[in-house]
Amino acid sequence: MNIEANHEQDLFRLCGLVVDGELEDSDRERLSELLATDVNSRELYRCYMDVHARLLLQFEPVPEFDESEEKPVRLNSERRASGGRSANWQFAASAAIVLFTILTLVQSAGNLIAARGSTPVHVAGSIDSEFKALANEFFKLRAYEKRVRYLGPSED
Amino acid sequence: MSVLNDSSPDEHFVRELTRSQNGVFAYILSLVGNPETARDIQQETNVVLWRKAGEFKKGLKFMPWALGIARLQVLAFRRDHQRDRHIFDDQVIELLASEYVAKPDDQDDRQRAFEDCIKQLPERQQELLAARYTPGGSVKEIAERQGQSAGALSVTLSRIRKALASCIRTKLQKAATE
Repeated sequence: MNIEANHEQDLFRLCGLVVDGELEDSDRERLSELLATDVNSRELYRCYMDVHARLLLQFEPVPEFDESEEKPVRLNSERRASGGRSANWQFAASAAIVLFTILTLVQSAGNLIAARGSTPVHVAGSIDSEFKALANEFFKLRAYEKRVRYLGPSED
Repeated sequence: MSVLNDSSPDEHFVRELTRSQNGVFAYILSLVGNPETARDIQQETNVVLWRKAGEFKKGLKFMPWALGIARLQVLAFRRDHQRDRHIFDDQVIELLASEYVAKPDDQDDRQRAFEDCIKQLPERQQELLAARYTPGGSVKEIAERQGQSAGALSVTLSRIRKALASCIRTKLQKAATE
């Protein structure tokens, strides 16, 4: 095995440790050394972590819905059997509209406060908290939409 | 049919913000290593992006702008948690952050390639990924169920991720030359 292949094998071993949360101090130093000195290692590391991030997002929990509104999703194997995929774009668009409306309201509230000449810190903080909570809900909806896309369309 | 149209700058902004989420999360995760920390920083980044929405003009490239703000949020997090042990020092963070390939229209292609590549994996590997990445799925527990060592399973998972990264790269390169 040549030096480059050894180098790459070592890098992927260290990437695996990062992902598993098992990186020891000596591993951390070795990984930093590789990334600090080699542009190719940085590229491989980014690609590896990009895959890890997308896998985390792919399987992240879906929000809970009212049972009367929840539709069953099909398993991979069922979806493959039916062939093709159906992107739930209407769902995504609806979620975007909800977020847009929420954000507009938050912005309007901020403008109103600013127009009154002062922005009490506790009010500004409250707006941020509200926004974060609402943004969280929105991205949960996005995760659900992605999950539906991945598993396949639900049957009406 | 799309419900929204791009007639309003705000609608355009929301559209871009939504499209950028996976890429921004991946970027932050590569800099901090820990998914929970990455999610917290992503949330802060989204707040700042919204606050600065007025500075974003249609026609500008959203992703580089969003990643620039995400980078500042990562640095702010590191400043606020100086006593914590971070995965990388400032030099490596700067190198990774500045070289991150952030082609503005690349994110949709990258996500599509990722989904296609997952489908190309053998079913056994897809099931393994699902077991590992479904919340609560730990390498140790899966390894115990399968009667193998955690180390061996970790190596298998790492090979699958490597194969996926290679598959995505190939697809994106192929798409770029077509």
